[in-house]
Amino acid sequence: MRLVAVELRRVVARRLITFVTIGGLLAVGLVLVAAWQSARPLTDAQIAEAERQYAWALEDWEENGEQMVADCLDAQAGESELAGEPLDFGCAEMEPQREWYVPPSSELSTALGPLLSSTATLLVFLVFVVGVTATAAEMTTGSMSTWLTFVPQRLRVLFSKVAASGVVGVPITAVLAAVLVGGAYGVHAAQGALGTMTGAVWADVGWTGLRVVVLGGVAAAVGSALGVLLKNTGVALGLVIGYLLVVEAILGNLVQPIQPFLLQTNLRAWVEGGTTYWVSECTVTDQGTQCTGTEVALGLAQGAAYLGVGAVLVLGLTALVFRRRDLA
Amino acid sequence: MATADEYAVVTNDLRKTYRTARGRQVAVDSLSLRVPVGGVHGFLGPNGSGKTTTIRMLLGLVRPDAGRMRIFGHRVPDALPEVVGRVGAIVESPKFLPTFSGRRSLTLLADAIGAPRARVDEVLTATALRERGDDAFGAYSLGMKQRLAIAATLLKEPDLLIFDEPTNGLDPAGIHEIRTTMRRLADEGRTVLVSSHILAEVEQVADTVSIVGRGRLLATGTVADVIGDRRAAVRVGVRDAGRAAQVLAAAGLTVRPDGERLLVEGEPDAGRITWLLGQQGLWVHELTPVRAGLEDVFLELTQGAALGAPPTGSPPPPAPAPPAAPSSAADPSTGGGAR
Ligand SMILES: Nc1ncnc2c1ncn2[C@@H]1O[C@H](COP(=O)(O)OP(=O)(O)O)[C@@H](O)[C@H]1O
Ligand SMILES: [Mg+2]
Repeated sequence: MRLVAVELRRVVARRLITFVTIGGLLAVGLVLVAAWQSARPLTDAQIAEAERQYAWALEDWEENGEQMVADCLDAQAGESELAGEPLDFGCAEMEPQREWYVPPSSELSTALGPLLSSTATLLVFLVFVVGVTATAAEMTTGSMSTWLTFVPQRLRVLFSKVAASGVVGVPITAVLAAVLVGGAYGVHAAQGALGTMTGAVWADVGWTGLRVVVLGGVAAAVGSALGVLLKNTGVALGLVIGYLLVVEAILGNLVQPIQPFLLQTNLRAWVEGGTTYWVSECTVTDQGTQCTGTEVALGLAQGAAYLGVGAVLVLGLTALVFRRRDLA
Repeated sequence: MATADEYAVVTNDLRKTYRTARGRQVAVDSLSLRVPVGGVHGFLGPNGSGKTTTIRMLLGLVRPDAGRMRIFGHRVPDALPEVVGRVGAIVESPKFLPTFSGRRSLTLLADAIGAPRARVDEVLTATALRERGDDAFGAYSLGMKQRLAIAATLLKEPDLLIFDEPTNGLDPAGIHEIRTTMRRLADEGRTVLVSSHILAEVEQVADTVSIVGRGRLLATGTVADVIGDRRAAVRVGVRDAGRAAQVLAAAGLTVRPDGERLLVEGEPDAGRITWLLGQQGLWVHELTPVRAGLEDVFLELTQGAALGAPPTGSPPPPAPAPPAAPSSAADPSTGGGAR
């Protein structure tokens, strides 16, 4: 415990933690600017233009609506026959609707959840970087070796550093998330676009925020373990970004069945409290390639298990390697 | 066990091989060291002879392939937690976070070992760093970094101090300061183990030395015993060098030509040389004491080892001087090596 307290003071004293917090605040600021723009009510001129567009569309519908529906039903029947199963072309919902042309501006009650979960990834990455540099700097400067000549128990040293990073990750994420939520509230309130913020909505946001904060702590802890394992901030971040690009982005697109095993899917499942992903199945027929998309659910528990096991694996591997490693 | 009292550091058949891109690199080979309690012990050897590796093994930073080590009788690295509070060490260069002030680094270390905070100011004062204590370590001069590292070791009030090439890169004043510090620490009753590849830096301050080459112990004992009669030669400038050589050789001295001059080895008494030559009407116009560097001693010692002498232990002239440990000769089992 004493060591964890000492390591906490060390992490807090690092300059980088200030930089990252400032960077995080800037990022949250940008997100809020974007939120402010989408919450801004339309100007009278914009509304008038939208109404004109809607009127035209309605006119067109009055004139040619029946023909359009008939064409649609025709196409639907033809394609269904080819596919061998009934397809829905949505022919019944072709009448122009007012909200297609005059979009309602964003309201806090619907916007806050998605805003929080989409920004969460960025915040969590930031605290992850804090964790990585906290220990990687100690490895590259050799200050870890000096430390070990005072505290020669490697696992104790490792876990005190990992724990300190984890503990520090929580308030950083919490502050950034709170600024985001508070800012979003202010932005929407100023535009009179709060919507109906029921207790249920707030509870939902609260739980999401809590999960983001927990994730922040875990990310910082895992980051600091990776810093010890890979000994270098550049190497660790390069490896992580490389993995995100090659496996998560490219491979995840090419080989869709691996989606439930991707970090991003599970991160989403954890942050959003369960998520879905799309798997499209394509068959090649004489007429060409036909694809059908299926939405698959991935639950919160699954995401939690995936992230938990992943974190434990990284920590365990680091402990195994660090316990025996020769240090300069 | 008796060694607990007599020796601060004991290693037996210590061995470390690094795996590198070019294959295996034997860094330390069947090394059996004895560092007596009290005084300054010089750990000498050319670059790459395994000094740093040995020190890292003692501190638990590097894992030996084979062999046993004790510090004050405690088996290390297993019992390091028990004994580490008595051991202060600086391995190679001082290493601290460059953005942290010296004071912050020391405070963290003090807290980690449960030393009182007041101790931080004491050691900063003792190393003349008090005024610069709040500056970032990265902004320190090399000498200040070295002093901060010494200050850190003093947080523990250690009985054994291990300094690995502490004078590397320091100016003469800095070197002198380090030497004085080491002497003072030894005079306070502590044991100082100092490694160096420069003989001259250590011989003035060391009480005993161990010399290593290619990871093996070549000689050990008091400074006088190990390098005393090897270190000095006298360069003699005389017009008829050939005849002078005969005269000196006839008097039982070892003489070797050195360009136009002669090198008289193993006889530091310049007066006798002048007298011998003067008697024969050979007038000396130059008489310079020449000190063999550690490299010369080392070359001589390794040549001896290569000629089939026992792999470790004493080279021909000097015998191991400190209380002869029975195990210093118990090595042939692992000798030979794969070279
Ligand atoms: N981390 C390492 N990896 C590979 N080889 C090493 C490593 N550290 C030292 N060596 C090699 O081991 C030998 C001994 O090195 P070292 O202990 O640093 O010698 P010294 O301190 O006497 O100069 C050298 O040949 C060196 O190249
Ligand atoms: Mg060295």
